[in-house]
Amino acid sequence: MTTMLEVTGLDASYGPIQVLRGLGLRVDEGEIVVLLGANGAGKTTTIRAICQMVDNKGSVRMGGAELVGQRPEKMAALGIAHVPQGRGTFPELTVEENLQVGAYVRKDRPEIRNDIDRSYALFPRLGERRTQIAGSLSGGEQQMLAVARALMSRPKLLLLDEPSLGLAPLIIQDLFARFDELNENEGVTMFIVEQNANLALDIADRAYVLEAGQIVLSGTAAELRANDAVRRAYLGF
Amino acid sequence: MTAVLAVPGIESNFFTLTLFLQNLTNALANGAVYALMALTVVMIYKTTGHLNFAQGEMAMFGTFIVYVLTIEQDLNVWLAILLVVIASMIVGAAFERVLIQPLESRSVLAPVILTLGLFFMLNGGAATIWGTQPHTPIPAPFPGHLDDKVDIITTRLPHFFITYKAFGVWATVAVLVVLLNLMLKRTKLGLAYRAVAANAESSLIVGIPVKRMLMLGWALAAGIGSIAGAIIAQYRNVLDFNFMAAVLLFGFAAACVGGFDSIKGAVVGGLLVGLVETFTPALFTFVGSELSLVMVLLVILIVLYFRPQGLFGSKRVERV
Amino acid sequence: MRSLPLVIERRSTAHRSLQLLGVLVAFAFYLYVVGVVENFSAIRWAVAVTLAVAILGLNIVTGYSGQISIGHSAFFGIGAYTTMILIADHGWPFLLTLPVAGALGFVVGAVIGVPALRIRGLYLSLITLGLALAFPAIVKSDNFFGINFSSLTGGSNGKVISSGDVTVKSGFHWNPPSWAPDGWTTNDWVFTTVFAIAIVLFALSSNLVRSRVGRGLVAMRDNEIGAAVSGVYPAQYKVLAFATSAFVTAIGGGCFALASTTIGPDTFGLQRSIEFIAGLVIGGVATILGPAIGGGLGEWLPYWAYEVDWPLLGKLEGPQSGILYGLILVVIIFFMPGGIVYGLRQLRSKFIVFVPRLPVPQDISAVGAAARAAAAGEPRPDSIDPVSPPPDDATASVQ
Repeated sequence: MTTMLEVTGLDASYGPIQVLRGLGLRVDEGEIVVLLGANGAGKTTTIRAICQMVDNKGSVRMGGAELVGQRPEKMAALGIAHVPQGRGTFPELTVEENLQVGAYVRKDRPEIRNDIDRSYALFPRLGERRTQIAGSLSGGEQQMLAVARALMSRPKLLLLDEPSLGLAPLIIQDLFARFDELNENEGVTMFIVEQNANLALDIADRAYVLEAGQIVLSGTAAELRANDAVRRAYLGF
Repeated sequence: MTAVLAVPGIESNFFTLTLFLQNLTNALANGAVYALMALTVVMIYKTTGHLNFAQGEMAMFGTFIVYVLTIEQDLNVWLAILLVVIASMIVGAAFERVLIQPLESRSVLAPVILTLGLFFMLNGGAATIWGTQPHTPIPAPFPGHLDDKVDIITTRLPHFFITYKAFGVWATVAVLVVLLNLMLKRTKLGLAYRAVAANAESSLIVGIPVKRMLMLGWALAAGIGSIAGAIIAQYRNVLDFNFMAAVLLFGFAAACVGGFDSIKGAVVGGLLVGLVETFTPALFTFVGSELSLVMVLLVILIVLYFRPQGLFGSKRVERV
Repeated sequence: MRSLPLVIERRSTAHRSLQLLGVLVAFAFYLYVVGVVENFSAIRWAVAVTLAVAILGLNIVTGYSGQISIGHSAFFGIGAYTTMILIADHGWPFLLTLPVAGALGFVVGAVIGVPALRIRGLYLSLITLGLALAFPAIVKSDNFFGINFSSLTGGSNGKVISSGDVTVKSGFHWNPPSWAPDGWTTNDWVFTTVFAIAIVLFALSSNLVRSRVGRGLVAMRDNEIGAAVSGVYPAQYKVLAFATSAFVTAIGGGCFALASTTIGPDTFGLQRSIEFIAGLVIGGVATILGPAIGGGLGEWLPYWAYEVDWPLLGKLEGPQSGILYGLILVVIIFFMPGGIVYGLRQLRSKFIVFVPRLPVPQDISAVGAAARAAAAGEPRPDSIDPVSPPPDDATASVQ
């Protein structure tokens, strides 16, 4: 299995406050890797640092290319799609326009059209609302839109920041089921940052645990499920 | 029919039909120009979140260059306008990149002071280069002679007519608004621009060069401003180094009532401001025309009380 | 040789000594203006001080509360005209007019503050701009909703009192008192008066900023929802902020009337408001010294632009001075976007750094040691009562 994303010795800070210290992780092609951690551990910062949206030092290699030092708008062209915390939809644009924008870095118009139609097939609710303003969609629909938008760039790596946040339990289940499908059927490599450890570990291949800006545990999903500390802290039993 | 109304505080001749229509025409023509200035405000505000107080002076400077090209160099007036529009778009984009971008991250109020400084520099610069006296003849994008008009009511005094100039102003604004809308709604560039206005961070994520969209806002504003300057110089028959200052103020007022991030709002706001400006002194005896801007702002205060985001603005939290 | 930067704890003796030094510098400045500076310029410094007070007021609403006001020239004017009218037409003593001027400013500020509750940011700035434009027009008008303002205010001709030898019908003069040093002129005494008033207001302002109210304002500026959740009610604070800021600026206006002796409506229009904002931002928003610098700039910047005989360029002709004025604004703000005070702070932080005084940390290990010792049945380390039996295991499990 080829390594797609390799992070070594990553330090990240907001101004004078350092959040990540010497973080290291990797994501292999075709995997779903999950990052667990409590509030404030630095999970969102990790994703943002990978995407160069936060001051960072160290090494983040994506398929051989070094990301550290590059500008954030270059990430899409390098095959990274990021679904930020809080969805990050474009509220004043329509559903269809949100999807079009997702394909900004692509130039193959007919294929883009096909992909938009496939998004509607994957997420019929979006198809029903294609001319609606994204800001008027419900939380779950916006999350689907955000994921569909991210997929429009045909990414090599999909980064998801707390996709379950603010959503009803049934919707979250449905969402994670789709993540699993996307990974199985389309082979989309995913890196998911989550607080909802149960569902995340269900679909993950491997996982890491982040505490106070450092990785304290890593292993396969099964290993982490069996780990006592993880069970007590994140799985609730 | 001459209406005689002896209501205290109301001008009795206001309701004379031809006078009313003349006022209406004037109001809507001025309003159309205010709409253009409001558009410049919106184009910059939507993506950058700040105002350009030097916009009027940039337009004024551009109009002077049109004057030089047309009157002194004998170039066709529309060709001159086209050249100035292109040049001002480049200059506008450059200003944003070189002067504003370095400041934005460091202070919210600094861009305000910078554009104010630019205001004084451009104003003083124009006065130094071209003097303080009004310039004639004024470049004429539209036929502007005394008889270039459409007579509508000639059976009573005063006559009511609409000048070709006025039609020209309305046509220009209509064309510009349509073109702008087409660009924003139908092109990839326009989509990218609107995306940055909607969510700058997600735009980065998707690969849009956000900084270039900020420059685009300034470029569009500068281009529209130059056109506005040229047509209002002819419409009001004045070209001197101060002629755009009040126009910009009315433009801000129009953007305020329409909503700072709405193009539709800019147009409606502009027309509304034009109407209030002309009709309040015409209607009320106790309001002189020097108080017209104050009246406009009073009306805006009332509008904002019921809709704090302006008539068509979005409800999101303002960036200062 | 101690290494830089020096770390000084707030409220320590070192800190207090530096503050005292600051006070001495201010005093030295005062003596300089009164003693050394030529008589005519002393009055310019007085005007600069009144502008500084006006900007101090603006700082409350723009710097600390984050609501940009382009209308403070109106409050300045309200204060100035109030003082003028009371002195010239009614013979009031100067100092008594100040509370009235301030109160009037406070009321108008509160009235403006109420719509401010619903209107935010840019929209509010434009409404305040309306205030700046409305004020001169109203002052000049003889028929604004029925009131003849110009007869009260002198209209476009302005109003005059005098602090010199020429007296007006009320016999007003502001000569130095008998106990003042010889050689002090009226101008020196005017400067002394306004300087003293300014010092008082700056000191009160400084206290306000550090107080609960001040922190509430900053909280409101930075995060309105968070502030509301913490019990800082934006509605009350916004109105209070506006009213207080108008109060201070109006007092500045009253002092301005004393210093300039003649006032006209156009001094209090949009241009003045812009000078205030420019002065505040260039001086340093949300600082105490910023308004002082801003006031100085407000007086001296136009002077440099319009009146100075420059070595190479000579005296600048009308419009050229506008270019210089604008250029100075652009250059200063480009190199110090946070204002001059922030620039100076950066410089200062290379030499001195102030740290807050922290509470003495608890010795946690001692608590832990005590608990562990108790669990093991040993007497507690600094037990007061050696005779009492060790506590049982239940209490010893406390971490």
